[in-house]
Amino acid sequence: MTMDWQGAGQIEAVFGSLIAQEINRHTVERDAQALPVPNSVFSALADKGLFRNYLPKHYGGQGIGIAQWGSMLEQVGYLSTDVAFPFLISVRMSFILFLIKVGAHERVGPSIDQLLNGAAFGAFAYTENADAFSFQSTARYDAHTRTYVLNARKPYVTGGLTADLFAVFVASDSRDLQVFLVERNDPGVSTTPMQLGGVRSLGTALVKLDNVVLDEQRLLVQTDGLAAAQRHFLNCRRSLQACQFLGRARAVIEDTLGYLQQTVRYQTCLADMQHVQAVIGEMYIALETARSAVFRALERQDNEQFDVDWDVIASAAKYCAVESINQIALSALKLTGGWGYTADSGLGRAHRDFMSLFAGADPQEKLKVDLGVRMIHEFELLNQQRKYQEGR
Amino acid sequence: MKIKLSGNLARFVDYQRELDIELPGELTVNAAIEQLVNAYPGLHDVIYDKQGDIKKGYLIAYNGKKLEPNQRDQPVNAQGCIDLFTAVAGG
Repeated sequence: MTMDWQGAGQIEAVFGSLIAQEINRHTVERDAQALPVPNSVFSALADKGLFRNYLPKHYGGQGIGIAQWGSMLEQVGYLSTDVAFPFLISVRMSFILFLIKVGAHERVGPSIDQLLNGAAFGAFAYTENADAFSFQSTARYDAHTRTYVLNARKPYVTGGLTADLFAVFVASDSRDLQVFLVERNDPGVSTTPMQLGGVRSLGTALVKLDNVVLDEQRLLVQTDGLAAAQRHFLNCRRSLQACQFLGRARAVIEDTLGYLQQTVRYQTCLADMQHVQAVIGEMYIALETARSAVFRALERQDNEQFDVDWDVIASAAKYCAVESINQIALSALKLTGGWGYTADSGLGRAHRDFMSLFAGADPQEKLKVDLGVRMIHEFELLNQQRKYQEGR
Repeated sequence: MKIKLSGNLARFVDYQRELDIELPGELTVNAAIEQLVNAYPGLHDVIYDKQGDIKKGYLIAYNGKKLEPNQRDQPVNAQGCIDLFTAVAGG
């Protein structure tokens, strides 16, 4: 399929009215008050079958690839003035796929049905502000009652305030992670709003588990939870999560152009000034460079050319996309002056929102380190190969 | 033979990047890694899952060539070098 931008017509026809009425009308208010996007909107999307697009065929879905799913998220991001909305769609779909990948059907089937029908929503409770070998969370098994007792503190759970189910990653006794399915209503589970600088309607929460007792059936991954987290949560989402931001960045460029075309200085429309045109050109280059990187990474996933544990191309794409969208938002603010900085323009909010991806799925500087280490390691392996061949 | 460790594994071998392991005889890649774990027991739970298999997420190479899990039964020699690289990140 072509990944050239062809407008958001496909998404607009099905979801445009819902996005305009339920999301865009309240974006400024939600941002100001840090109100999470209500679950009713996601239930309406589920009714229209949104989550079934990327659902595997063997689960009754359309089985579109991740690149096409990314394209849909990009279109929703373009239409939605609140980028937290497609961000949550993306996370919640990934949660469904995570359960399909790691859970036995008899254990997770009923939950997946609820998630697909918009009767419940899921969130990943992963990070502990520490490397994965230093998590403090615990799961103690009681062989008599065949239950686990969980204690954990998860500071940034995307969509945690409005989630009904959590995939909780807990340090195991074998220097790895275990994964449990935890329900919001399980005694001992609490959520506290976590105020962020941007994407304030994500419903980001501190999720705490205090002596939460779970039947052993809730254990989804007994060993190798770190690899499960990488394969089915972090690594597979690293470039995907940029898609909705790419759509919003395009809208930012268009909103900027709309202002520039209506604004006159010294008897000249700003959009007719050559320096302004060059900056718009830079923004466009940044957007299409980022799109090329992200969709290449996603197509590699579709074509199974992807390193399921840690894909260098996906990591590089995420890095590139995040730098690009932030450059676009900054340029928009530099070009539009006072108007751009008003709440109504949405450009300042977009800039705050775009900065959230500096942190998401590994901070930018951490990605640089990991990519550098990988490149050095590959080079060392090449040297070893040469040395071994010379010595034969 | 030499075994090189990188990523999060270094902390379990006193932050040495390169280790010399005595081979008691002709061994495979898998057996050489077992020798390493015998010498540094702290690595056991880091490298092996509860079934005793090497966990997913490790890149293993011998003499610079990356090995798929089903290629780790190839023999190694005393002049060879195994690379054990942690592919996982995040947190």
